[in-house]
Amino acid sequence: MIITMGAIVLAIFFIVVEIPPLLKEKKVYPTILYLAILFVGVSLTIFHGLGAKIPNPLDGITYVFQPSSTWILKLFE
Amino acid sequence: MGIFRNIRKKSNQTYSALPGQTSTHEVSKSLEENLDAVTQSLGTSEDIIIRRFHINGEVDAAIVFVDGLVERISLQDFILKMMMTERDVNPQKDKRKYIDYLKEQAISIGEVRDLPDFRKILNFILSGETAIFVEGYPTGIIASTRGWEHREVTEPTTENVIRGPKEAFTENIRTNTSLLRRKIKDPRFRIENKIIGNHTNTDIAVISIDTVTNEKVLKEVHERLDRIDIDAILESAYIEELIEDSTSSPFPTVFNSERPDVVAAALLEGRVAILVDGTPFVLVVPALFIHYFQSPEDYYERSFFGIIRILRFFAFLSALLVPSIYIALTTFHQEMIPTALLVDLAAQRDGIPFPALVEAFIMEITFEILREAGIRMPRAVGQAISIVGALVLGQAAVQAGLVSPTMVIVVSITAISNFVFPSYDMAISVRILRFGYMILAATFGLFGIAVGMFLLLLHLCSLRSFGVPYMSPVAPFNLSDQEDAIFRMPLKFLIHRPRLISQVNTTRQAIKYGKNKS
Amino acid sequence: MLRDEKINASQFMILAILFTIGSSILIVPASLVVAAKQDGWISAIIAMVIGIMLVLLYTALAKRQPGKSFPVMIESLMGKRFGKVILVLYFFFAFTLAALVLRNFGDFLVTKIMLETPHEAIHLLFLVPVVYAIKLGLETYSRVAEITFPFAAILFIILITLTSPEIEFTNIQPIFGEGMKKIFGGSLTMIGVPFLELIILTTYFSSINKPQKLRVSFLVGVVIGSSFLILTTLFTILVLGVELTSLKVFPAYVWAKKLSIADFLERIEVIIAAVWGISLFFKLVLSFHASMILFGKLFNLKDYRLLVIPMSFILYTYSMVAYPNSAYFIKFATETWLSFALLFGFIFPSILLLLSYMKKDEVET
Repeated sequence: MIITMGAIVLAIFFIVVEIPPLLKEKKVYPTILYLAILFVGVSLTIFHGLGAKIPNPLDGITYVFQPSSTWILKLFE
Repeated sequence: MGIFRNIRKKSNQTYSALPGQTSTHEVSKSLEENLDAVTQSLGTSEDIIIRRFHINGEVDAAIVFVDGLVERISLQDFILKMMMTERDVNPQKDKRKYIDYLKEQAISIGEVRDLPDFRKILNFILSGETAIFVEGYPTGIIASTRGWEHREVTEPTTENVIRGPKEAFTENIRTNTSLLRRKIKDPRFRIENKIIGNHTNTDIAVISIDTVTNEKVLKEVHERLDRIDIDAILESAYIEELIEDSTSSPFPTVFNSERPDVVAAALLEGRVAILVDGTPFVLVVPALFIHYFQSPEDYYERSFFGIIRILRFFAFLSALLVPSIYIALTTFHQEMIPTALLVDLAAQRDGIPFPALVEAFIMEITFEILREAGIRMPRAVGQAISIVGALVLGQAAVQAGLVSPTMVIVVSITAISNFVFPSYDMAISVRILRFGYMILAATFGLFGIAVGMFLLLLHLCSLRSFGVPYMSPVAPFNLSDQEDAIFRMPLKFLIHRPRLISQVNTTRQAIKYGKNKS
Repeated sequence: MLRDEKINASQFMILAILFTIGSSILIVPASLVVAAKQDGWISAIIAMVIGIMLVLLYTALAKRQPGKSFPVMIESLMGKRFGKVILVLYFFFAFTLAALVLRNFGDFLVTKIMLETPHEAIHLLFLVPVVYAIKLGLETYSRVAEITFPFAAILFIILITLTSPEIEFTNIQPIFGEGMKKIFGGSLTMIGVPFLELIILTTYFSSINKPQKLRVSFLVGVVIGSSFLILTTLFTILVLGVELTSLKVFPAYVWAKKLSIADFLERIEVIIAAVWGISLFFKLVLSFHASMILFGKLFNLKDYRLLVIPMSFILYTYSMVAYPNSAYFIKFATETWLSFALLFGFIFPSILLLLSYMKKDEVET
């Protein structure tokens, strides 16, 4: 719960601090990118904080690269 | 003091100090009109004196001055007397103007000039010069008669040394420039004047040494000074705040000193000094982190590679971190405390109602209050404060069971360390930051302190003072500047001026060791 | 706006040292000893030699494409379209590395020092200076590196000298007892962590004010950094012995526990944690920053620093989910990472180098 609240508070804080100068300079593209990434980041943080299972990218890496690693390590055993 | 400084916009830069001023700023031909304009602009204040007289008994003239700002003797002897006595001169016949006659022959005073601009004349009158108006001539003569009561050159009160010159700057800018010139008798010594403050018209002098000072820094100083548009400059702190690089930083990026020898040394390092009339504190830029740990004594006493200076850096760390390390150790890392000590500590803390953080906060804040009170107190009462302080911070608090004896030691170490820096500015920033570290230590222990240190270092490294990185010459590292940074090498090894500050004329002495040219 | 940031060669060298020490100092000693027993330190030396060759590869690439940073090289050599794909992969690589470094540090702190503090809080707090550093830029944090590195080095030397009475030479005997094959096998992990990761530093090649000094400073940095690792491994074996070393997750920390000053100050192993804190901090900053630069290039952003804060939320979650348990961590760091890093640290750069020669030929003919 603390994490969820914290993430939302932080997100609002950063939006208030960082977005107005961007809009003042009429940088629409970076603003959209900023908000999109922030949205993804905050929602991931919240889901994780609530105990949801978030897919681990390392599992993907393991799936792709473990065979070749095993093969290399075999060479030296 | 409830002085609010209004920074007015550039377009609004009018001379509201002179309300009655008509649209023309020229001096009129008619004496009466001029004098009317003077009384209109300056009002009928008692100290503004207009004295009418005749030159050679035939031409009407008048002098205007502010009583108290002028030196009476020179006014009487060299202006009035000379002009009012009969002379065998007839300007009409000589085809010379009275004005020229007055300037060239009558007024025997060092600095005389004539000005057609009424506004400027008024400014001069207000800064202690005497203005002379003559019937029929559209100019005013300004004779330099400045001379008002001011404090003598005395011993410095804030930067004391055991050995070294015992003179300090005064409130008079002319005295201050002379103090510097007496130290640096060099034709390349440069003083540039400015007047800042729409109401106060404060004299500012920018001092540099040609070919030693970094031109870029000097230009930057002028640019920043010219950008200032404010009603009043009452102390050099105003200038400092208006030209410094970062106002939001707790660390000072403009150095100040009241010692002529310190400022002269800074000038010889290639830095720029800014003198402000009315204050003995002279600004020096660029100011780097290490400058706040250098005392003139480092150079006057035998210092053996500046061991004392290292002590100051250590004091900086202890003033900053001792309470927080105490908190971190007692709350998170008891295993790091030697067992015997830990048992004692636990026994002391037994019965104290507060957690270490609160305990430390109470003591630190009490101390800060005492210190603040000590500064503001009339001197006669100061004694009382120190007695009460000793009781509150020491024995009584411990006996009452409010704090542990160790905490008293911790606070005392912090307090004493805080007084080690030669510069008060740096002490202030440490005082503020200390509390942040205490909170970090109470929540995250040593890890919190480490994070705090990273943040502090990042902040320090991001600062610049007039284009020079604040942490130089440590970061970016410069080997040749190390001779006088953290250490102070013996004088015969101090060959170079700091690289990043002075880029021209970097050699201070002939390189042959032991055979210095005198 | 964004200034062109320049650092000098010695600053780059210090960054290279800190990057090499980085998280490896937590991972490498244990894995070396598990694989090559008492000869683990020889494996480390072999790994260093290979590391040096990798550095030569990267600097050769920089020589072929002077003044260009790595992302720019990728785009100019592989073409716009295909380059973008590679950029995405590299972003993923750098970002993963950043997340893992953060995770390593969190794991270390939680298991060894801050036993009662939740993981989340430590990750968050550690991200604060990291984000601040990237916001302030390369110039600023390399200055911080310049200030902190001497302290780290002095503390490390103190540690080595003060624990030297505990050395037992029988611990590393018999030298070469495990056979060359095992020794080479042991060095594999260390090639993956940190040497193949050095490709991250190529991102900053264009920021060095004297490019001709690049190769020397990079090499010296890597050699000094590796000697920290080699010495740590060697002393861990010498002091603790093979058995104990291979049992612990962070054996070097156990080694540091032997430190005592005059029988009064004991258990000050936190000092060594400070050294690692410094190196891990810079490795995290460098890899996160590199990933941000790659990201900025990907989206043609001028001011990529803007996105550091939103990105750090993702980094935080990534680091939290990365290792479900320590067995997963050991297997991933010592095995899987090797071929993952091999792709980015060796295969792609080699292709780039080949391409750069081909491009040159095209121009000439």
